[in-house]
Amino acid sequence: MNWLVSHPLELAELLGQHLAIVGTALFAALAIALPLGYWAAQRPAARGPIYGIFGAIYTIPSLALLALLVPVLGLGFWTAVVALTAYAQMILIRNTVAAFQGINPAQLEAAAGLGMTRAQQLWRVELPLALPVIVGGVRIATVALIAIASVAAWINAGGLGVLFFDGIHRNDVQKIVAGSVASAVLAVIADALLRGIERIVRS
Amino acid sequence: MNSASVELRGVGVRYPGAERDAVANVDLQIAPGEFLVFLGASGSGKSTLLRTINRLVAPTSGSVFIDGADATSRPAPELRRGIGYVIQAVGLLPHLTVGENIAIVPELLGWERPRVAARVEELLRMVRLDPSYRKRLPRELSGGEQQRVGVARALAAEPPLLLMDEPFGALDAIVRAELGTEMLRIHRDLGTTIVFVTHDIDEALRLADRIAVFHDGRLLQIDVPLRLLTHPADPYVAELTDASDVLRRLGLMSAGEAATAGASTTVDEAAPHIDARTSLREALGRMLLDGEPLVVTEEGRPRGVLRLANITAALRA
Repeated sequence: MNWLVSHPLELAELLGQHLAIVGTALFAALAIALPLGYWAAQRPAARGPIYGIFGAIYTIPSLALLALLVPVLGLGFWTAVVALTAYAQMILIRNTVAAFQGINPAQLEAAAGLGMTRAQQLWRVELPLALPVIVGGVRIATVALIAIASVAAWINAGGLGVLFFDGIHRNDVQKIVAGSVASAVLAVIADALLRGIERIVRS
Repeated sequence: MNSASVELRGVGVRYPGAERDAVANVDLQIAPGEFLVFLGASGSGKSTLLRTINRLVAPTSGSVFIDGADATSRPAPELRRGIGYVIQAVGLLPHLTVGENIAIVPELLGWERPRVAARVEELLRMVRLDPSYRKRLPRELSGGEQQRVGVARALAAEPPLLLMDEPFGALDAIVRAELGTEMLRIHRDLGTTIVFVTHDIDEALRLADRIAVFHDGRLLQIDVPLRLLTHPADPYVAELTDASDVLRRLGLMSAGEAATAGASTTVDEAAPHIDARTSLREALGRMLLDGEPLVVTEEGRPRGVLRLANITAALRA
């Protein structure tokens, strides 16, 4: 704890890197999961293979996945982002599919019957109704990514994990504790924030 | 009066992979302002046929014409904005208020805000909901109230044609009868052409100008309610309408039609009076309680006399 108080600038820098990795990965993951999930929600046959692929990726240990990616993508930020994006898919896809499947078919029939175009049905009916469940998925994925992002420091992508690896190398318990506390607090804050958003979109 | 005609020419629907046609070669003409009921059991094709009119189902053969124009000559969303649609499950959008739900079609059509707001108020009054309901969410309403909103939403842009797919099927008998009465009033006031799907023969008899009976995708008979009971064209129609049910038939005939015309000088002034529009079913009930004859009145003045023999004669006609 003392370390956190005595090194505010270094902490801010690591926190910024951590958030950049997680934020970029979430953004990329959503850009894939939303359209793919929407598509798969209407095609039960496609869901098995999709869940299979992302489920398999999800089971690879994070260090192993990074080790596999480094020879291809090299060290650094973008490699970490790719790994985290792949991890987030499993959670986001399942939630997105559940979100669109959970919509009452009568509401879709009414929307079509009233004369909404396909695009209007998507933007005015399907997305607003699916949003609470999608945000729930984003919350779970965010907390998971904040934890997993710590290993990104191992491939020189920075982030709060730097404190763990430094602490381990130099046998500095203070640094290890500082890294743990910082990333735990970050996860708790993110969770609370997204719960708030979930409540707003649900009402 | 704002009402459309509908013509179905050889309309058939076969769903992919199905053994037989869901709807087989239906020819049907609906006059402007008519209240037509599609009657049949589930699986009879009545809902599928209804949905070909607003193109939620594409016919595999034949064509639908609305006011003489082929329904496929315009984009489907544009066509649907001019046709009211009410479904059994109501389908109010839960994230929108009652007012916003009612305003959907006017907004799709690009109406100005003040006009939309005024129309929402007017519609809430029409379906007998308090204007304060505008700001409430659908989940705060009872099933009957929700369907009132469903009807208001369907009528919002003053469509000349209203399609109703078992709209009151999920409601209890009292609310159902109440909403049926409201529909008759709205139909009388607006003159909108209504196509109404139900499996309930009594609801059909009560609401319809004409009834079209469907079975296994085929149109068996289309006729006015009384003729459906007195002259069923098919054994299935006779069975479905339970044509042997004399009381049901009497419910569709009026005292005025059956009475012996003429002033009732010979009838005791004390004889019970009934209005000419009273159904013979109700008149028979009065006779059983108070004895015959009954004096039939029009606007309060005696116009004729009704005896049991008149009722028997009316049934045999």
